[in-house]
Amino acid sequence: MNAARYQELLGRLLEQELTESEAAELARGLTAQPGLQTDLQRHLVLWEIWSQHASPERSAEAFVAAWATRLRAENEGADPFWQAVQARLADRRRWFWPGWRATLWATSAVAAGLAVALWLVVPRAAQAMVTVQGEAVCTVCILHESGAHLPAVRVRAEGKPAVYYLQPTPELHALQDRFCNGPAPITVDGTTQTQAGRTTLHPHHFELRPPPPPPPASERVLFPL
Amino acid sequence: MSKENPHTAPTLASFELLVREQQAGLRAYLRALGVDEAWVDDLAQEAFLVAYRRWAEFEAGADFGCWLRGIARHLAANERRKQARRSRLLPQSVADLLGQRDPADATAEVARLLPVMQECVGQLPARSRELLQRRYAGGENARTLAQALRLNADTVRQTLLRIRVAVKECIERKSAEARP
Repeated sequence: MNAARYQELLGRLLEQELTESEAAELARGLTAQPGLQTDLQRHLVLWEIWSQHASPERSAEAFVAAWATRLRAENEGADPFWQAVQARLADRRRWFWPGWRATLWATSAVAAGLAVALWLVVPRAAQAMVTVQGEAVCTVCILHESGAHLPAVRVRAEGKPAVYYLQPTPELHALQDRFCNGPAPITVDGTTQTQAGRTTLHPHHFELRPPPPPPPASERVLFPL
Repeated sequence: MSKENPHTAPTLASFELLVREQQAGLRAYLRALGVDEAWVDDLAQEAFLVAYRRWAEFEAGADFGCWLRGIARHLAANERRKQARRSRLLPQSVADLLGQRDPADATAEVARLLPVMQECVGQLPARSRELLQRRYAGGENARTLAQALRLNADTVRQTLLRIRVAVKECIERKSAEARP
């Protein structure tokens, strides 16, 4: 494999566009020239570091918060009280409903089918849980975009603003006024999906805090000269 | 932090400090092992969860980072063994090859690399910096960038690669200059 072809395949790999046959060709080239393996690993490391630095949803804070959310979710699943309640509910169902076992199997099969279908349909980048910290804003009132008033999170990446459009939920809809009257600090745990340059954040949990108080009157500049 | 008593479960706050210290290097390590870009954070979080649950197995005085990388390596190896239709790794032939090399050396200096990389990216022309920003901060790949910029996807991919190669060469040059 010559240098030009290696560069072409490396470019495709870094853009997640490498096909299986191209991957096999690249692997053969890497085996024949171990120096290229070092080069490839170096590129993977460098651009991973840059991605963590440039993308707010991959920052150290976001990673630690998402890890803590996963730990909390695991611990809640293992909560003895929760398990005891589940066991008691199962006992009740068994008492009142003799066909519970067949129904449970059927429900499980349908749920498993749906899960597999979702797994195949949902884009890969949408799987990982992220935590986004930023300002709660309305797409019309604050961002001055056209269309419906929708909730969004504005963050700063590398000094430039980036916007995560929140997938509307009834809970967010009830708080739309606070997004219009923003910006207010918000933290959202959820999954993201990017299509045509627009990133949508599907919230699993969010915390909307009140906006910071205005500065004291003495610090306000009423008539800047 | 890494010299805590192995028989005392760490408090959540103290373990969070370890997560904060180690996360950047661990994610780079997993990527170098051939984990797909979209799944690096997921597997890294899993590695920290395993480490938290198995704290009792960690030997006092040992290198926590090394132990953690062992867990991550084990998770990546499990992924390689899976015959699932959709894996969390790069295409199999490349991932198998990368999995055979321990990239500990390549990820040892993650903290030192970022400032050098920022300097090198800062020296790029404005348009190149803008393209990198959209690729990494905006999460757009070459194909979606090409659509947005009304360019050919091959052109965008080649431009991105030229930028990456230039940045890598700049880092290597600066690293060589910094060596005594």
